[in-house]
Amino acid sequence: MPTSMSMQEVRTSQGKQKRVRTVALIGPPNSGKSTLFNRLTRLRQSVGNYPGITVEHRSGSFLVQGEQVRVIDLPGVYSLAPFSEDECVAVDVLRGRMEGTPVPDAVLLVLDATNLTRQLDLAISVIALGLPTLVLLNMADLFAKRGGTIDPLKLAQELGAPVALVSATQGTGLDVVERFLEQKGDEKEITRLPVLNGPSHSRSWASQLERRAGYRPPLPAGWTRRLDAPVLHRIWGPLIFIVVVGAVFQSVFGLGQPLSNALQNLLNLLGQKAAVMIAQPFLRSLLLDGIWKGVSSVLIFLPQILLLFLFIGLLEDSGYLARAALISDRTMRSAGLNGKAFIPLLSAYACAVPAIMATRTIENKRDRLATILIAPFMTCSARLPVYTLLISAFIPERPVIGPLLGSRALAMLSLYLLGFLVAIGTAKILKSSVLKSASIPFVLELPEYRLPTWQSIGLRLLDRGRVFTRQVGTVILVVSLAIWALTYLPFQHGHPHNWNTAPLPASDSSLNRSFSRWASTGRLEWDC
Amino acid sequence: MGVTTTPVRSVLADLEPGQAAVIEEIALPRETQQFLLRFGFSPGVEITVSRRAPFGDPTAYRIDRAEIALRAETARHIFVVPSQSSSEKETA
Repeated sequence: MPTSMSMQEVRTSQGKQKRVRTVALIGPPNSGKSTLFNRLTRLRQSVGNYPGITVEHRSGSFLVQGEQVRVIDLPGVYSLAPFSEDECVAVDVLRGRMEGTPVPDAVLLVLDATNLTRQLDLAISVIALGLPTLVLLNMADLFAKRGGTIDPLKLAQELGAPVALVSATQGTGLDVVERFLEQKGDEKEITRLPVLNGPSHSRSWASQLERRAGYRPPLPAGWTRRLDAPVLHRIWGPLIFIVVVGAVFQSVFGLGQPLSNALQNLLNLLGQKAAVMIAQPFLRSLLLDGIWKGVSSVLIFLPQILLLFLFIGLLEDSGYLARAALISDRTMRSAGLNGKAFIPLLSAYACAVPAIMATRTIENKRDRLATILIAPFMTCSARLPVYTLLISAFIPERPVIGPLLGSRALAMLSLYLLGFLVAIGTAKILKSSVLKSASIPFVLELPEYRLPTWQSIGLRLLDRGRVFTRQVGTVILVVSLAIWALTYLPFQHGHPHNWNTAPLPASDSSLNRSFSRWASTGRLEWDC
Repeated sequence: MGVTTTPVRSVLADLEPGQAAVIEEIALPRETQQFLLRFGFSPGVEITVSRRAPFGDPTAYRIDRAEIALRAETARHIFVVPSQSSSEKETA
């Protein structure tokens, strides 16, 4: 597991240096926390899961004065009130109650400077935990550009924690993090924070605090409103939506499939080249048919997965993903789901694995689970050859609507439709029974439009690729090794069973031949 | 729906895009109230209707300088007092 690996890293470095410091990174969603995490750690990151739950555990490390500091990137939270799994994780880690995660020595709190008011609640509850905390007011560039002002020193006095204006996307002001970590623990001022009795109290406290800190919010981004006018327009909105979604789908299919095929051919070729050099038949079969085939079957998924995440990343970072969720919410609601489930379910038509990985944008745990459970009903691209085979074997070609639609095409369409309907039906059953979520309403934040940066998209792709090859890859590899062992062993008359020359039972139909070849080579080929 | 003239207490879901109001009461379970609070929904806060989604629901609201969308099924339980001055400002 990646987590235990990085734990080992920490332990070994502990031998050399006296103390290893752990810093927790916390902030609300859309505050640019992940961008900051990527800035600080670059590629020294690892992703795992917290024990027993679906929340991702991300951590990384960076150097402060030659000392390695571990950064734990906590999930984005709006408050420390334990509503969602994400918030429970954040609180547990900060309190040092999370198994397998060291107690953080310091906290970096990332807030969006352009929209401070409702984040001050989170700020005081984090600072009140008593860990040395540095408050980073992110997006300082946008904040200043749009005429926002604040006195960080005054805010620091009010909060009882150092405050700095930074820009994670531009990388400005970040040296403050290093300085803070160097001298953390030196200053031990304890500021009296207000005891919050209710929402209105904290609210008036927040506005008082803002006033004292000289906070003047920036003007709203004019172009977000201007862009929203067509993007959420009654007629243009859905049209743009269809074009965007269609383009994503087309590229994942149209570009991903040939790339996958090309990669598979290349890997097969390499395997065959290598096979010549191995004389021992058992070893050759183990390496080639067992391990290499397993590795290739993991790798050929990568082009589609990375393409899909490239587009999801572009959509999410630009701010369009939230708009797409807003537009599709009405439709998704009929299945008992919400708009955030649309993109993951659409991705499932390409491949269920990245689709399930993409459901992390759905905050509501039950909705996320329902979406994960129905995603495999969508007809993924790997199922297409199987459908084609079964249809050509069982359905005779007959025109249904003149020359326009044949019986085979109709059967294929029906299979797609059937999968979709079963998914909708299952979602309805799940959402009205075990996964009912009544009390938490659907709330969607529409972030401002931003230009995605290549750095953040690139790191995300790397991260998703790594998660896939490690977590999914190991399962696929083990299964394909098991299948290899089952087909190779036991020996018959001192030789492994040869599936290709084995006599076929019953009729020697083309279907039978295709199937036996499929069973022996793992690939479907046409027999026409 | 009765617009502008005599705004006493109406429901957030009934406001038209461009209208502003002050939240008076959130008639939802305590748990839901606290959940909404994190997005800034609490009594005394000013809220403006930004725009409706293309299919009429959910609706995006401007609250605390952020755009937050709610479904009508939620906004129906949020009672507001429309603030005339700013709603006139918006339409003017």
